[in-house]
Amino acid sequence: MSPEIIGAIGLVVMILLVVLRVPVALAMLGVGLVGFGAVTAPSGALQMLKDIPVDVLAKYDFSAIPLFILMGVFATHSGMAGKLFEATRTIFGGVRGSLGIAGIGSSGIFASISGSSLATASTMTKVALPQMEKYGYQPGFACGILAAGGTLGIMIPPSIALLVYAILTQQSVGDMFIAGFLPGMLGMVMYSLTVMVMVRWKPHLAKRGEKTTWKAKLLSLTGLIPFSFIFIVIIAGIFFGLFTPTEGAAVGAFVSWAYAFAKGMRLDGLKQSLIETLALSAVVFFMLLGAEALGYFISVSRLSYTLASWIGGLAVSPMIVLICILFMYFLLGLFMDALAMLVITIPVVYPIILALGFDPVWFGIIAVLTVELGLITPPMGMNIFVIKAMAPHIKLSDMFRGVAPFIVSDVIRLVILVMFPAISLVLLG
Amino acid sequence: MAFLVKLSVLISRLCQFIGGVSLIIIVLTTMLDVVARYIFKLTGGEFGFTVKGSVEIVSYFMLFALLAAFAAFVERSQIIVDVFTQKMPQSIKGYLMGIFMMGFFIIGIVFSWGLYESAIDALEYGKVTQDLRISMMPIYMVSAFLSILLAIRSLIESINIFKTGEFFDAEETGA
Amino acid sequence: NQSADTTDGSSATSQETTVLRFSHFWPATSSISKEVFEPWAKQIETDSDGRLKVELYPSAGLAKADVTYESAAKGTIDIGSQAHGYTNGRFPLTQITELPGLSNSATQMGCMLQTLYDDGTLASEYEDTHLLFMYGGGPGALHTTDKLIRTPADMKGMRIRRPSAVAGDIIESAGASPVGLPANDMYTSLQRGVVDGLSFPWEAVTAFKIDEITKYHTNIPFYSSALMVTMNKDKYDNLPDDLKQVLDKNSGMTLASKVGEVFDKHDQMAIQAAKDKGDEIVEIPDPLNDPDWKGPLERGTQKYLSDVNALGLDADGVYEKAKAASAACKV
Ligand code: NA
Ligand code: NA
Repeated sequence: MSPEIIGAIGLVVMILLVVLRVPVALAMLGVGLVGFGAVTAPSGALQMLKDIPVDVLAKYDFSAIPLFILMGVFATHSGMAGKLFEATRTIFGGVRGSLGIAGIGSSGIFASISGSSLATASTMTKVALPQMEKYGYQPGFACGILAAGGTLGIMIPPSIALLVYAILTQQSVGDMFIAGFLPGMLGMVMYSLTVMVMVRWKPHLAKRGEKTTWKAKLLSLTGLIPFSFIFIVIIAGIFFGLFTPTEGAAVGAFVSWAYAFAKGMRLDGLKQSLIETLALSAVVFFMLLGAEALGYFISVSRLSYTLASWIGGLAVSPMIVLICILFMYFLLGLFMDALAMLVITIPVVYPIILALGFDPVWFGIIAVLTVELGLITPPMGMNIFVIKAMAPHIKLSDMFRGVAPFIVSDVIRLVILVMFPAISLVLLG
Repeated sequence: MAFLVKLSVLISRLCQFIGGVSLIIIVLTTMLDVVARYIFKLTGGEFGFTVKGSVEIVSYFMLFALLAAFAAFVERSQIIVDVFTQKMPQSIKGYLMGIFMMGFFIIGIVFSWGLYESAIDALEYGKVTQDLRISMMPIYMVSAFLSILLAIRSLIESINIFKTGEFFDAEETGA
Repeated sequence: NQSADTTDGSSATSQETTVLRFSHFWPATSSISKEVFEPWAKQIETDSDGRLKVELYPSAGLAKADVTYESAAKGTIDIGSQAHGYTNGRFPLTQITELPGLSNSATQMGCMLQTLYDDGTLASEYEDTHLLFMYGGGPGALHTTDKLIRTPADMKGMRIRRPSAVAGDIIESAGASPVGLPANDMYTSLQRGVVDGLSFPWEAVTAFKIDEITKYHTNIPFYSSALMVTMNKDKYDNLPDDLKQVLDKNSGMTLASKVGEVFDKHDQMAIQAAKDKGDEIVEIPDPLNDPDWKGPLERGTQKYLSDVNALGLDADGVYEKAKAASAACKV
């Protein structure tokens, strides 16, 4: 049996296992292990599994995830997060869907400090979800909003995915970041529009808040201060070079702890916050372990490599080839980590794109957008899983239903970006 | 059985403690590094104090924190896609969960085995960390220990589920 | 350990073919991947009449950058390429070649390394794998964003990203603060001023797009990276003799110099590009005989050598041999 066939079978088995209630992390680890062994040798697969804990858990880049979770937990415990949303609710009082739009907007701001979608989704969920539920948002829809908002982390600069693309294709990192800005903004606008359309079309998704007076609106602005302060500390610190985005997570956790301490949180509260952070991080990192094993298996099966080469050899019009490539990214994105996917396929796909005469910077943007879509599509939507970790009482099926309108919105955005390359390229001059 | 349950709770507490302390160390190291580096810059190097090895301190304490978190919360930190099996009887769900916990038992064993081998290798080849040049041996040993705790807790939880039929169901328990 | 599977059991139609999975950390689009590893893989396929097939996994596709050697030793991959500096303390003798002033080009570095391996000086560090060839990076110059470094005094108070522990010693003895940063954080950290500069080969500066941010360069052989391509021992031992010969023919000094040529060519291109861009460059080709640089570089060198001596290894002896090999390899 060829490695590619083993790869394809592995992915089918993976879906079956997940459907049969096997924990997602365990299914990924199992399929990754057995598949890797089937392609190489059982001893190699065993060694791969043995190496995984240090590979994934001692990875400095990933440290931002538990620390941003910790920051969110402190923000919640200190009442800061509640104040923030209380303020937003008052300011937008009476506007249907305002909290949802506030969630998208905050995710977008957060995306500008974080290069990672998982960090964005986990932080914003911790802060925003309880409030959205409290104010009558249908839980699945609220999760959909936050999952979609989280994907902004990968497009709005800085972005690890755009950086990796630039290095792989010898494009300018600066250009890639600039090119990602408008498509990211467009995403924010379109997600907000999606929220507005959905709440008008299906009013039960979000209760309309009470009307508020201008005086109340003005007074409530003070509620924005604590959280904005932390945001500003992190953004300014990164902007002026006091610390890296990765370090920014620890700084954020420290500053929000200081605020919580000032608000009276003592040893007991600290203990609670740490335990909660550990419990949430365990869910996320169990899954990252699995994704690593599955990723190695897909790599060694040469499935994506062969698929990409095959598409490159098709004798059809450039646009069809492009669509095939994007479709392949979408399919792989159902299972694979975004970065692993770029690293494996870009070396094969990139020469094809150049030969067809497409702009490399523009292609990078639409490729990353397609990859990003994989974070919120079933069966393996990492952003959705992270939110599930933060909100175990909400059903996954409800979450996938809730995110569906945003997937549609992303597909429309993709079509727009493909039809109008200028949106990605205009800022480059 | 009561003894095993007690042991499981005890291990979970221990791991929560190790994980919590690790998180605090990560945050404080980074803060100290950021502040010291800034002062170093401001004083043009006159105040020559910078934190060495913060990247590796963060990395290895992350490793401890997360392995400890795995051991402490393995039975309640699994994401299960319930879309097609919502009507499945609770007893079968529990039975399955007991089997899956055995999966984590095996994974804990393999992790621990690999980390133990790495510890021996590190000793044999004199591997040290990049900046602080601490031997990698104790780092791997602590990790191997935490992984074995993951295995032990998974096993106890598995036995417990088979005996009592009760398991952690996120959607029922709520957050 | 890896069992002996001389035939690739996964494919019934090509029973004669042995697949060799080769994982390395360079991007697929890098010069070394395109100009050395890919042609090398093809050459082996041709020389073995298709009985050996080398599959490349760039960007650390099958093994993380810092455990690639170990993965090859343990058989997760068949062939791996790693920088020695990624596993600190594992190759203390080999890393002596990285010390400042020993090498002014990738060709010289590769030649020095391969010479010392071939004459047995370093061989004890590779007993758990079958080493195919050594190679060296070009000299790691200093690249900074807003201040030119002419003398070590200029480095005081600067925060410099260090590529390896050995280079970190040298940076520290020159009065700057070495900062360990993962590769993914390098670009934004320089851009935002978290660090003021870095020590890196010219070719790598362009490969990681750092040239977009740095404006000042001190062209000094501050350190050089030692790297290797190695193979799983059992996998090699279990090959029939004629296939072993194919690999033997395609390893050793020939390959070391081939990499050297490619790196040196790209280093020159990168220097030219920096000049064209209007960057300021100072040349300090022989720092060990430069009154300003001699002191700190020798202090850093001594520190490293005494650390290795303390392990009970003959660091001074190897350093002398490295100097001799360096002189013999001078281009
Ligand atoms: Na971002
Ligand atoms: Na997906």
